[in-house]
Amino acid sequence: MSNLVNFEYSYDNGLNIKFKPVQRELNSWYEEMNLLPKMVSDSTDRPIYICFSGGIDSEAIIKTFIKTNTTFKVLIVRHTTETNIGDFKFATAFCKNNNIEPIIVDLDPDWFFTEGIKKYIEQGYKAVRIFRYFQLFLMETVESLGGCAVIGSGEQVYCNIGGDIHINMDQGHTMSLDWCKNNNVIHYPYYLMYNPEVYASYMKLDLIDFLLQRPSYFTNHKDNMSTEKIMLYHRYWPEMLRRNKLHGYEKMMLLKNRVEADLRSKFPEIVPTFFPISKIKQELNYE
Amino acid sequence: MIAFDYSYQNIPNTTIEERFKVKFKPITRPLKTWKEELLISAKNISDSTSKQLYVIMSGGIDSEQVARLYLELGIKFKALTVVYDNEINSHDIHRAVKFCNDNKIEQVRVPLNPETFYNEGINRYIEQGYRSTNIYHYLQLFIIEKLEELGGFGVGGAGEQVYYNIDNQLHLKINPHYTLGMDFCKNNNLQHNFWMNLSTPEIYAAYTKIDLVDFLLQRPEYFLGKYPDSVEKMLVYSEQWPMMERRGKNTGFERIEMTIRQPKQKKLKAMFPDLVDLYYPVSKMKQDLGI
Repeated sequence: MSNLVNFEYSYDNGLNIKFKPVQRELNSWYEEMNLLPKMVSDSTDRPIYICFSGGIDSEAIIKTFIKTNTTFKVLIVRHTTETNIGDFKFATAFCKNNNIEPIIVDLDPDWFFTEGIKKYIEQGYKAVRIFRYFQLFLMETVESLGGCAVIGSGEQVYCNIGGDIHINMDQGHTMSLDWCKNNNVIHYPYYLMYNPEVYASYMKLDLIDFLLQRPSYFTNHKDNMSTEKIMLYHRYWPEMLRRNKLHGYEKMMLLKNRVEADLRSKFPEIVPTFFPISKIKQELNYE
Repeated sequence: MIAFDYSYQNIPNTTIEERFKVKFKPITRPLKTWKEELLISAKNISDSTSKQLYVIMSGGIDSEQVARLYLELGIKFKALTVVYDNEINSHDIHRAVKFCNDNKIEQVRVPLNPETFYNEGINRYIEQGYRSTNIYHYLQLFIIEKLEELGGFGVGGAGEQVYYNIDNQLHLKINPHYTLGMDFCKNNNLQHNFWMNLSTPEIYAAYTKIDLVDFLLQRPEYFLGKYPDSVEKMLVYSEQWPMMERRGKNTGFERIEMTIRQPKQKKLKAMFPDLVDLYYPVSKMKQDLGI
């Protein structure tokens, strides 16, 4: 299942990751993004379901599918507690404006994140972030619909450790890939890491290249936020509505914090692993 | 005290450029870094008053920036935060509450019913001749009045530079109503400074010299968005103040955007059709500043 992402991984004294090398001359990142829909489409006979949170990653992905005339469906999760009402309204309005009929799936987040995730934990899926279990829910839902899920995760979030820029990943990141492998199914939980080319071309963008030479811009990395990505998305898709950076948990932070504290004590072996950008670049081998 | 001189004359059948005259003041000495310039200005503002200093804290990064400047200078201050009824802006102000708690800053919380204030309360200011199509500016006047009741001097972090790409040239958007609070202070002989980021030409100029901002100013394509915002500012702030928590860009109006803000502003725009945006070329701004 390693063909679902741009890296090979193993668990031996923690998470080990090796990025696959770039196989051809790089296009611009925007061009690479627009090459992905056909590649994904060619990789499966199933209908593609783009999981649309209302955020800019999934919106950008939908735009590339529209631009390249690649057939797709959209799946939107609606919290029965209305905790994602803002995102939900945006996503449904976007679909309406683009003549897309989304599949809407209801989820009670209070139940799912306290009780629902237990099923996955019992099956051996370990993560300390509730979003990782939500990825499993999305893939399972799309699987039940007979589709192939595309989830707009895998953005590059940089952090400065000791003057060097790193990317933070942990074992929870690869849990969804394990799930695909164990169930012998194809989904794309880290679409933005689909291949080495799209990943490497992102680093070659002028703004990213500029910032990667200035680690001081990433000294504060507690919030797992890629501000520069917002600038890039609005550069390449200027019509994209500016909106707050949401992760969908704004109105349920107490629940999130409590469940994640429980998960951390349950799985103390899952600790952040920081991969130096210099090593990633070397492995991608694009320069 | 702000970085530009301005005048406005509401003459019918004229363009906004003819009605609203803006000219940035030239810098008067070699520039220091942006943060050094902010610290100088923060100190000068504090020295200019014998009143209790209040930093207007909304929970956003601009106001936290001002608070952090005064903490760094070791100048004591209180915080003033407007708390909307029914927790309408709780998503925004909770960071200000936490910041004050963490730093042992006394926070004065001023309650406000946004529905009553924005629908009816602002009429009082309009009757006095204060015209704006953005309800936020009337909130500034309300805060100024509260500060006067408290006998304080208000400092805020307004004045950010938001760039717009028009025909591949970068511009700043300046609306005549932007100066409403300054006019209110002037007419009532009051002293407050809500515009820290615009308080001197040196601060304004030094911001454009920051490596990231300079990089972007040479690439207008980053400002093609139909919904301009200063996202780059978030990166700049987090570089200068790494302890500052990254956050979404909030206005505090999120929960009343559709129900109060937009309908009211639509009415205000119909009431004051002359108050349209002036797009000021960045090249001209730089020329005025002498950089």
